[in-house]
Amino acid sequence: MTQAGHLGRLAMLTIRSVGALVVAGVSLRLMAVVDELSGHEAAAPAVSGDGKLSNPVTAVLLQQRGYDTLLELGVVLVAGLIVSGLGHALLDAGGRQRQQSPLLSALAQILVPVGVVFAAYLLWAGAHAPGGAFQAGAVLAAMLVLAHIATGDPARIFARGRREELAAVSGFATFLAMGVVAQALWGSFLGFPDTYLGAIVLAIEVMATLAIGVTLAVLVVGGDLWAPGPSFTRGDRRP
Amino acid sequence: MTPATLYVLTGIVLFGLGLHGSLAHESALRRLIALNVMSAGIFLVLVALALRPSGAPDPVPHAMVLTGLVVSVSATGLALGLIRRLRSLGDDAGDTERDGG
Repeated sequence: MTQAGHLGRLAMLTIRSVGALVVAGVSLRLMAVVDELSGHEAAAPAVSGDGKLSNPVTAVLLQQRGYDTLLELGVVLVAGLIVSGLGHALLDAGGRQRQQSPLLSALAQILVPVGVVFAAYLLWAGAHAPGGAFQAGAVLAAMLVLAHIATGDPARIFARGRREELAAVSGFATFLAMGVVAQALWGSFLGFPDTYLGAIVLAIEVMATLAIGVTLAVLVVGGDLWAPGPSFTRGDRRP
Repeated sequence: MTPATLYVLTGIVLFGLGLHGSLAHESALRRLIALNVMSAGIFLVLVALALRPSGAPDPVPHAMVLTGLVVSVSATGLALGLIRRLRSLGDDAGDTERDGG
């Protein structure tokens, strides 16, 4: 058993017994409270607004827990920054046959525009149905990665370099700026008044979607979204 | 056994399995996958605890799960980048298991 290779038998026994104890202990504790928790009604979430944000989860994310969402955007940004800094030669492409894949190209040509439009719909629908900035950003990231894999030159829409970095930073920056503006104008950080809530939330969510899409795609591809795609060369490394 | 109880138990078991895997495996990639299994278990527990008798679930745990999903995806992407970088530098990141682990 390869697992015993780097850990002694005592260490494995300790890990397994501690794991079993954790599972048993937490189960007992949660069994005691789960029926009570699920039997009570939820406390009314402390959200207000002009009625445009009727999806309760989105309302919680952007109003009651707006600070959490701001920091979440910061986490995505930090991860993207670090992966970008690791360098572009992350993929070992040796050993694969050189081939074009017309199937993949055709699929990407059809799917990527549909996916981008669907991401925009998800962003808009988040106000009243399941959806929102993060879901839309994930779909956008998937489309960017698909375009990269299929062609290696995904988007003449974007120029490379500075605009990519701007897109990645814009989500966190917009949210932070809105928070500071709210502090200056209305006296509480991220406390948006009801009359402007719809417009502010929309602006934040649009920039957040763009930032999440670009950053997640960068995370998957390994730092260079606009370089030639990885899969179809034999033996040659990218610079 | 109510649905909430069943989901909570499943989430805890997933957490335990992931915890064991994150410590016991030698390959960094397998430990990363085990961490993702752990987070899946935690999300399941959070969503299960959000069930309410009126049918409309408590939105705060759902929002926390959404936040946690994005954070775990970012962390996984970062960890994968680091593992790839290690391998390009010649360190096999504990990958002594020949079946691609």
